[in-house]
Amino acid sequence: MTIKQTLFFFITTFFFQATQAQQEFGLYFLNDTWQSNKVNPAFMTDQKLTISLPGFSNSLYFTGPTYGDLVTERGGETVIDIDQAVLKMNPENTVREDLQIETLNVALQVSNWQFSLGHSLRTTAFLVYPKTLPQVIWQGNAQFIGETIDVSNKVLLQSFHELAFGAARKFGDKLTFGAKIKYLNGLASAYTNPDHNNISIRTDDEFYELGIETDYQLNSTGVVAINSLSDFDLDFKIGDSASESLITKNVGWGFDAGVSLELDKLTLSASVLDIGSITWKDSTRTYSTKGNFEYSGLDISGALTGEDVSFDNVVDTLDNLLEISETQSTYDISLPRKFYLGAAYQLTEKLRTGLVYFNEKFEEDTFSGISASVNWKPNSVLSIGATYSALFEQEEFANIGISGILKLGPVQVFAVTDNIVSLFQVDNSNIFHGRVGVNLLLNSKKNRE
Amino acid sequence: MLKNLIAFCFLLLFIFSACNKFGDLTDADVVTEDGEFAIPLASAQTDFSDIIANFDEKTFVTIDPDGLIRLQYKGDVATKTADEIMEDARNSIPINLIPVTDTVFALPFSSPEELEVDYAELKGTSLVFWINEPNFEYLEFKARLPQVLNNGEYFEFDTVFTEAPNNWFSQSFFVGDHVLVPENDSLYIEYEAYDIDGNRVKLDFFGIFIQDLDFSYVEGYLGVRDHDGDRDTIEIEFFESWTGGDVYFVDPKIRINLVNSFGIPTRSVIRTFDIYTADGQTIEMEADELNIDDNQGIDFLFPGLDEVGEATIQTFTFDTTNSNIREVLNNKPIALDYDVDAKTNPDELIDVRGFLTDSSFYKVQVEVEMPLYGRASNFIAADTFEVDFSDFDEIGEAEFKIISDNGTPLDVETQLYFIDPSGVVVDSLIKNNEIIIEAAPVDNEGIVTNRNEKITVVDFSAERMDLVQGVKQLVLQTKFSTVHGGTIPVRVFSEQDVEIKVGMKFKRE
Repeated sequence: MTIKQTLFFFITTFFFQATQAQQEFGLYFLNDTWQSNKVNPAFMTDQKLTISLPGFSNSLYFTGPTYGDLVTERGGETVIDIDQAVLKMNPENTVREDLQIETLNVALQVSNWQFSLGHSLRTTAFLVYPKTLPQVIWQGNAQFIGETIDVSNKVLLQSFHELAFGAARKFGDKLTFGAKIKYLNGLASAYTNPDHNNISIRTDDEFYELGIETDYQLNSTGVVAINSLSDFDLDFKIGDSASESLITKNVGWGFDAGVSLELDKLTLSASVLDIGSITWKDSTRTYSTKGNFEYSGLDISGALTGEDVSFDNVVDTLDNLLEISETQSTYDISLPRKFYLGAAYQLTEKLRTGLVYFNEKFEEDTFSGISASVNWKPNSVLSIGATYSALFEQEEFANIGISGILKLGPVQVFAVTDNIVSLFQVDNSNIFHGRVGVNLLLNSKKNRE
Repeated sequence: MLKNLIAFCFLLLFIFSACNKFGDLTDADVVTEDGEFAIPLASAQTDFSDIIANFDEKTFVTIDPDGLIRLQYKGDVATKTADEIMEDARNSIPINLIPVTDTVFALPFSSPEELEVDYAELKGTSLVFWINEPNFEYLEFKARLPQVLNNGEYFEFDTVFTEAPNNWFSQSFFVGDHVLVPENDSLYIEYEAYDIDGNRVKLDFFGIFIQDLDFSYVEGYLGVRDHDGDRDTIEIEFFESWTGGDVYFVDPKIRINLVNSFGIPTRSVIRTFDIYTADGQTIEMEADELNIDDNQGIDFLFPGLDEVGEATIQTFTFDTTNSNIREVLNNKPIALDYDVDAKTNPDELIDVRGFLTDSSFYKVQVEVEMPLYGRASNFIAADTFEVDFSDFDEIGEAEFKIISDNGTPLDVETQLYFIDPSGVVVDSLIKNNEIIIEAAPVDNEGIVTNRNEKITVVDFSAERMDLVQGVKQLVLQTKFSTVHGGTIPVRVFSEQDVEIKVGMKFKRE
């Protein structure tokens, strides 16, 4: 696989279509949509029966270079400018991606209960890489002569089916509890062991002797195949994964729970989502390398003593330098655990305001933020909203989101983004979020009343 | 309603417009202006003990206590035994039936080499008597050989015949444990025969047949004899890869090693002693001992009569004081061609008595010794390597960094030629023939006093890289000179070493 293919893999994976941040502030306040139940299982719709048709959402957050930093035009051709991208990188850079393709969801209300069943195809990804890694790969190690650089990185990628069964119950007029249990079926994954993800490289200043210290373990199911340093395959296409493997032996469970309390015009709510993990054990490969490896070039001492010297093995020697071993093993990948804490206040019949706090813990990293919203529903057809969000760890404090719901008869169409500016300034943005969906709303409560 | 719809569609449009932005990356090229990679290319370390360990089986190396290396090239060991002389001794006595025509009869001796045997020890020999006498009804017979002794007792035989089939009598006597002590260079046999009346009679026929005559020891004057040694060639590997330049050895030697257990005077006769050189010359060694016309040669030491079974060891050395060896071995010798014969009793001194045993031998071995003490000037050696650079076609311009750490007293000027498949030199690595390995400094004795490190940087442009992509051979030509341009003799010791490291920085195309 060429370096260009490697770069393309990262780009298409992490810049896939419209992208979203992993939090969904705007969706939290779209209580008129069934999809708000995804961020709090206690949120119930007004319909007896809701059928959610295919929709998708995507969140992307990354630090370092933007699209505009990475891509440029030269001579009429679109090229990927590594030099410019590297200039914009931080010492450590993060990419966080969440994609959900929802196929079908059904929610049915019976008495004080709401039961739901739905399917979606999800992909979560998390990548942490040092600036030195792309520098070494594309710009070379000559700039680091005499130094030891750390190119340790984290890779987490998993794609899976999610089949969710939910139940919510209203207690009296005010209190609602909801929960979901989700059956997870893993399709493809790549995951570095967090206890073994270290690689450092030293280029000696005398005659550029290479010293590589590794303690690195990459687990993969259907994504990575490594034969040597120069012979490896990266193959991850969500569509292919889903069509080839509807059911696998990589099984996991997830759990969501939420609560909502209505106090006159004030509604307080909280939820915890994606508590769970997937155990990967089918068609798994674990690639490991550990040790101190040195390469001093070809030993031509034989030439000085009259022996024959062959240059044939140089490439093979470098290829096998890290002594990468391949085994089969079982590993677990956790889902990114999310927590929402919200408050909404109905200012007028048509105007509602809200505040929500979000916290996500994924691997050993934490993302959190806060958002203020206002939703205006001028009539029964249209509802529009706006959010203002601040993301603390990302140090993004000016995220303006908008949302819109259009209801035409029983058909409800909605769209929401937490960062409208990024849609206008794709080249310069690093937080992207968007969700669209279509629902069929049948037998609303108001109609029944 | 319509406004609502349009507003909503704008929102969707904004979202999806971001999606399409990334679709153009599929075919985009990755560009970088500043990419440069550094890798170690090759390294080598060797000391002279490694170098000499890889000499072929014909090169012997000794290392003096002080570490000075001496290269020795040895010829095959030519061994001659006493078989030929023993054959002469055996042939001096007839092998057919000898008629004893008188009661005291001297057995005939004749040796073309004029052997004079003073004493001999028999082995495996038998005497067979043949008697024919019509009157075997009664015959008293005695025979003795006074010069054939066993423990001081001479051989004798006596018997009384009363009958004999067809009047012939034959009997064999093993005398392999007897010695011969000729009298006046003769062996006598005496017999007495008496009839029934006690009258001494002369036998009608008495003959003696010496069967399987052989000696384990012979003493006396054993004649003059030439012994033909096999012609041999010593290959000298040192100059095998030479293509030019001079090497001067301060104190080379050629030795003739002799081991001799012949107890008789022996002299080597050197018929051929020529040096073949790397540039096609044939140079004759000159020394007094090599003048065969004047019957010169090297006299072997030989064991005395009281040193039977021992062997003398002797070495004759041709060096700068007694030969033209310096001239010969400083002309890039690649082989020594020699033919060394021997002659026993060359001076025909009959009064000098010697001995031979059945295990006597002499061995001759010639060796060339070249102590690595000398000087070299532009001594060139070349080696060819097969290569394939097809895996490195993405390399643009490059810079080679060559680091040498030299503990030997040799300057090394190296050039690497790139040869294309048609044998044409398309480029060379180093311009202006720079010395990339500089000799370590030496004192007045030619002994290294310190190490010498040097760094050489060679630039290789992208155009040159393209030119050498298709080469299939590299020719490494190395020119050695001792320190100061080969003007000072230096000593080479086994622990002296040199280390070379080559790194490369390159940019990708």
